[in-house]
Amino acid sequence: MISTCLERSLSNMNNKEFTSELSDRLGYSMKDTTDLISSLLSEMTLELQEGKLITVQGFGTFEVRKKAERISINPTTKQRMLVPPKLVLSFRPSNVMKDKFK
Amino acid sequence: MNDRLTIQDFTDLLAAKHSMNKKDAEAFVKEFFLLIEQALENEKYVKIKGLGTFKLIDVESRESVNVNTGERFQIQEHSKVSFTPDGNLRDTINKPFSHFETVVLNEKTVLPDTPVEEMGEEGASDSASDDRDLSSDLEDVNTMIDHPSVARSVSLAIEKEDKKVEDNFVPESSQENDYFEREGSTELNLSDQSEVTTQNNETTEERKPIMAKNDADECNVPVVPNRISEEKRSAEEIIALELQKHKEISSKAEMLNAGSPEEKVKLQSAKNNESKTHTSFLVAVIFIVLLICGGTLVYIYNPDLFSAPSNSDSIDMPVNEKKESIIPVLPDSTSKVNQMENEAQKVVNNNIETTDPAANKKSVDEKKVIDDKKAENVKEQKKPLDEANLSKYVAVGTKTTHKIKVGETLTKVSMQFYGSKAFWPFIVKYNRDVIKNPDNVPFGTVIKIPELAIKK
Repeated sequence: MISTCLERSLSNMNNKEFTSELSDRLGYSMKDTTDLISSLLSEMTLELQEGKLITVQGFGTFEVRKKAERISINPTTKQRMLVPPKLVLSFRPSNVMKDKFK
Repeated sequence: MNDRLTIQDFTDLLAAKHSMNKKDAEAFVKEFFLLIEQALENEKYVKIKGLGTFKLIDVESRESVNVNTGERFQIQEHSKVSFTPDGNLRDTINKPFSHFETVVLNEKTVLPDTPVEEMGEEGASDSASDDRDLSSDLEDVNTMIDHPSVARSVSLAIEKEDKKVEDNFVPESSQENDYFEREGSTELNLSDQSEVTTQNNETTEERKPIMAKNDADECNVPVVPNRISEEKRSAEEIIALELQKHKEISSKAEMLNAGSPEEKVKLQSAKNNESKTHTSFLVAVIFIVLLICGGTLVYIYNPDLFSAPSNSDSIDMPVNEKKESIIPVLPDSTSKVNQMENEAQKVVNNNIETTDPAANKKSVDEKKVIDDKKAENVKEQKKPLDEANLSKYVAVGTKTTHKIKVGETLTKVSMQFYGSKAFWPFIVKYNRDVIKNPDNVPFGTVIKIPELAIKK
């Protein structure tokens, strides 16, 4: 039980670990880091909502894309559904990052 | 480029908000994204609250073709970054479209290839297209008046209409006549828009068939008259019914048609007082003629429409009766036979020397009868094929042949042999060489009826 928990925490990085790591690196307190992250993300969300692109050097681009409506068919029931159009946040990694993970 | 934002913009914002050094803010933002990247590298999975999840996904090596040279080459196995936005973030981003919901479409909803623009505008565009239909129909009538090659019965009616129009605009010259006619039609549209839709259904229904009839009269003169004369007789009852049904509507339409010209006439002069009564009478006559023609044509092209219900009754009933009569009989007879057999065996056992041939024979006969009945029963139950699993059926060999009778359609044949109208495509498929046009199979054609079985 404990070992599985440990394994998971090792393989996956959750929000808490992320902020603690970030605070360690920058020498800020946990609380400050959390505040900074949340304000940064809220700013990003605001800008994205207005349909703007966010490009981070060496990391990638965040972009809001419109998906057109479509008709999907449930393969088991053969029911046809009209799926409405939606706005989706997409992330494109930069070439640097792409190459790094290749 | 105001649309594109970089870290710079955010560092400025952050610095202002938290009253911190610009340098520190920049360092923070850079470190933030760098950490994401490093965490991804180390652990393949980073979840950030308020943003989403970054994941490394392994892509297997695959073969691809160079688009330019057509050369095959291998794409190496690699991993790529995927990002799934947080539920919260996703919802805020999609806020402008959040009121849309997934809709289940009906079977019969036909959507054009181009995506539908707005659901709300459907009604408005519909009525608009209806208006267009009406005006185009009126124009059609105009052109029909010009053309000399119109079938006699219809041309008579149209001549009457023509006369009516001329009566209305006696003082006008012919060109102005046309102009006013069109104006009148548009006025009709504008003033009676609410009722136009109801009238429209009538006019479009009636006039289109007439056009079609003209075509038919011109093209298949030798074939159609036979059918028409035949169908007409049977159609007359229906037409009578239809006439009764449409009387209200036609009278309404009459009012409509007669109403606007009358106003015009009043405005112009009192000269045409006499023609007023004529016009209304003529309009009524024209409408009746149109109704008759329309009814006939509807019957010609869809004979099933009226005859199918009675047909299905006549076919369904005997089947049901047979079933009912067989099912109760079966258990009785089996038990009887069992008894008989037992008795026969007893007899055989008791006096072996004098085996009762009669009893034996009887039991054998009974058995045969039972077998036959069982076979029949199976056959009967098989007959009404499952309409819902239409796609599951395949044709396995010829069941029998069938000669198309006068007035018989493939749906009727399907009804007769399979107990459902839905199976006619199988007949068409099976008789590709004989049936050229499934909508018009000439009588006397001998078709093969396929035996249908559920696909495995």
